[in-house]
Amino acid sequence: MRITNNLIVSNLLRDLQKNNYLMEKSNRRLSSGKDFRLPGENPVGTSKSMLLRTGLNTNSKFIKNMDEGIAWLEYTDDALGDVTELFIRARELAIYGANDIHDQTSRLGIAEEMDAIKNSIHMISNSDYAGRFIFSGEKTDTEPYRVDGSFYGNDNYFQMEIGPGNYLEINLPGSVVFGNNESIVPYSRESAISMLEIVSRDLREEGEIKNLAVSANSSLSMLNAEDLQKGHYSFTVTKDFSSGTAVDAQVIEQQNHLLAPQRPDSFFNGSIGATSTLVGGVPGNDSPYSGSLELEVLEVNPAADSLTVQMLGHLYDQEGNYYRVHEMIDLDMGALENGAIFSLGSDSLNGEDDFVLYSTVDRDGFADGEFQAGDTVILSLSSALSAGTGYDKMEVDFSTAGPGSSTFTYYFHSGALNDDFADENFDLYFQTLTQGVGHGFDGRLELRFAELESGTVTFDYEKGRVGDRIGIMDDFIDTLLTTRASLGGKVHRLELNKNYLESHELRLQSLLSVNEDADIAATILELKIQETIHRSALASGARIIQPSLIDFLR
Amino acid sequence: MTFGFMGLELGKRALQAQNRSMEVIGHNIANANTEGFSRQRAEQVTTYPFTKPSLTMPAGAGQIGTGVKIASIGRIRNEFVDARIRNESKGLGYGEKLKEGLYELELIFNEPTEYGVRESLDQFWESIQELINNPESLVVRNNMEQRGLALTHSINFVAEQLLEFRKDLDTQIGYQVTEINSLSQKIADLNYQIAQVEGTGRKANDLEDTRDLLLKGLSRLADVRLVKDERGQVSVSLGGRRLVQGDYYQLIDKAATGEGGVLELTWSDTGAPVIITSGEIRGIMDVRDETVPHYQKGLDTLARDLVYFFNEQHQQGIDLYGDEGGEFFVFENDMALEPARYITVSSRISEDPKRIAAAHDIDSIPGGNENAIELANVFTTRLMDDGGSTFNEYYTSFISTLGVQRHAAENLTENQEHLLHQLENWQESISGVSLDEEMANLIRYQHAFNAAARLINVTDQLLETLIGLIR
Repeated sequence: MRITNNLIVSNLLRDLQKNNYLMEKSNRRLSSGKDFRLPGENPVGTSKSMLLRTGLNTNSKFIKNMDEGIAWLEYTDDALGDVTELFIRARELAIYGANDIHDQTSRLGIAEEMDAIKNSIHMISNSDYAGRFIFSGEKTDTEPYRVDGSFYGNDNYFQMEIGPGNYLEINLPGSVVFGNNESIVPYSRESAISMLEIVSRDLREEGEIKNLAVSANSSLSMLNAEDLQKGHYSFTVTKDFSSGTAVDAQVIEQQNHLLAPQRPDSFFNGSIGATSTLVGGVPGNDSPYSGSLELEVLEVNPAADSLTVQMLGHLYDQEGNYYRVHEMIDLDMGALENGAIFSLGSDSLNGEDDFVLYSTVDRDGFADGEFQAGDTVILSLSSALSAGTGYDKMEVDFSTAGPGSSTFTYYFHSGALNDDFADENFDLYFQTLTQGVGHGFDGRLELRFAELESGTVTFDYEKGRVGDRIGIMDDFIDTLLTTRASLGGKVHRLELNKNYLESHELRLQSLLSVNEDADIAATILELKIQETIHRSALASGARIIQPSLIDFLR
Repeated sequence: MTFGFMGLELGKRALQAQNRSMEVIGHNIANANTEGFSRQRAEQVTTYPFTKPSLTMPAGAGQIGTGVKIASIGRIRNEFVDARIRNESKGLGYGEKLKEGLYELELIFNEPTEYGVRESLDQFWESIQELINNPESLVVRNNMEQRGLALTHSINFVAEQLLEFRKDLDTQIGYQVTEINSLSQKIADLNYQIAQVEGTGRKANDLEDTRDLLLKGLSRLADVRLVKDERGQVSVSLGGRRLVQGDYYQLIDKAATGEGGVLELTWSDTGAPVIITSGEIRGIMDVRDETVPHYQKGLDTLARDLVYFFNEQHQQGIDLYGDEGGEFFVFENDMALEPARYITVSSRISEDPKRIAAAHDIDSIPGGNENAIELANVFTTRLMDDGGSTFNEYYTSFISTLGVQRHAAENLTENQEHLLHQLENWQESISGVSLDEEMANLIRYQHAFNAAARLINVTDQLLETLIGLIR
């Protein structure tokens, strides 16, 4: 082949260019540390890199999630740890206080410490983690517990993603450990705060004993509200059959703590204004509802002639179904008159089986000061049936066949009497079961001993049942311990998972590195070789393109 | 014997021939670096011999040489190699434009980096995870809204760039057409001049070199076919139509009448479309009409599915006000014709991130996160391609296809380049000027020139001697 000068030069240039290109490539690998830069340089590696990077991002986010989860769980656990210790102390105090050898003064001291514990627990139950209340369920912006122990959160759990498709419940609704005052069965799960408050008060009242006697064929009525102040009572009814003739022996059986409520006219009303009777109602003839409602004016809006009324309370129907009422009602005072404002039951407002709440004031606007925010009324109602809810909540049934005596003890808790009924000639009415501002049941205690022809029944009641609470405290402590154990389990699981993901991250990183990082040693070696080639190309090129025949022609 | 002036005549011819040869060498040396130049060679032939009549010997002295003359000055070139070069040029032109286009696309998509759409997808997902962890936090919600915007912006940006790129390609095609027209005109001009020269039996070496160079340039642009006639004129056809015939040439028109307002090429006389199947123009057209639209469509699908699936889930949730979650992503234009260009975060969300629906029912506000969990799942569930891939996987396979395409285009181009390089070397080896060779030849002719001069000198002396005898 004929070789021309241009051929030599252009081939040399081309080769030098190629060398430069290769060296630049190697150099870029070394300076960037990456094996490739654009998809076209390594299409498979590119998609691998992209997926690995997403994997890394995902992984590190899960690790962060778990860190946060662990912090949250540990924070919860710390709170519960403190509560456990407080409960253990409260239990000690309760045992101490239940002991009759203490006098009232020392009980007062114990009660004060109990109050302090209650306040601490209340504070802890409202703990927040970075602005979120940890015991509120999903209502993380709401303080879960009021000072009266009622629960305003919800019972829902929420989750956190700690791995692909791997979720963990991270929160603990307060009701699980602190209770929520809503349980049908009292004592079993009122909230810890209510319970401690009761214990504290019981401690102050412990030891007072009253006796009432009732004669045969009469019913016992306690007409004076003073007789039943808030507190805990136990009735011991002893029937002495020794001198009488046993007819049908009876046993008092306690079905439920809802005492049989009864009011003859079944009408209830109350006023939440200064002058007017605002609300009231007549249950239908066979209305099955019993219970109590508290109505409170939240907001008075004279400009719009409207009131915002909050309704809180509990109702039972005859089947024993429980309804919690928690409603906000906007009352337009300018528009309606004497209308139904709330109903429960079927959709018809006037159905006989329904519970209907009426406004009984002429609502054509209202005067200044007639209603104030904070005006409150408690309405108590019972079904028209004599057995109250239609479900015998308490039967008195002595059943011994021969002479002897039978004793029945009944415990109940009394709230404040409603003043409305204090002076009226009804049977005894009181709020029972749950403590607080009237969110309890209203009921009546009526004991009739129709068959008692002779002999006496002694009816004792004793205030203060601190000792009864110890078992409940044990329940609380048990729940706390099991809950903490499960929290610990979760933290452990998170830590294991986190360790796994951390090692996974390492794996991903090394895969990514293998995939896209330049092999420095190999690249340097390559660069060295390329450099050698380049240098020799330059050297030989310089030698062959310089001389020409002209140099040798003289 | 012949004597006298014949020697002078013979010497003169030799001097002229050597001189002309040296001039050709000078021309060669002068054009050693001229692109497309083929070395030329003066072809020395003996002049017609003189048959000396003989009275005594019928055979006599026989024929007497009368010297040398330049029969022709030809260029040394292999036209077969030229044809090969032209043939491979169009392939290279096509491959190179394809490669450039794909390279540009790679730059537009900007992967694999920490700044592309993929990273935005990841970061948006991370912000949803934050929402799961802190559904009530306004900071977290703002962050999610911002990450959403960053995601839509990165998609918008790529879509805009693709559109821009397509316009640029169209402009490039316009330039290429102008180039073809100007080449055709020049070739037709040269055809005319060459026919003039060659019609007289001479060779238009330099003009042919120029025309070959133009033809090579033309065949890089489009897949032209050549036919050379006996008069040395070249006919060029493109897609079955004559582009150049003799000194006549046909112009190509361009008008923005194609789909989406892109340029369409037509013959200026009939208005029929110009069919181009290879060369740079085809390469650019393929990028413009197939490659770029393919990636635009892919990005549009991503945007449309993202909006559809994410909104569907978002609408099942409940926002912080207790209302049903509306649309999270919307399209800025109602038509949603180019989803990737117009996808954005709905103003309802960006004006008030409390509208982000993290909870699944009204009782779980503000701490409820079940819908947020589902929203995060939208990104990890294989929703695209009928359940074949996640958004991320779809986008990744998309980029990987781009990589494969460019890789293939690069290999193809490299092969083509190599082949062309070999052919050009071949041609250079035939036609290229070797200075050493020219110098050697120069010396050769110089010596011949010297010798011829000496011949004249000797003849002169002989004549002088002869004339001196008479005196």
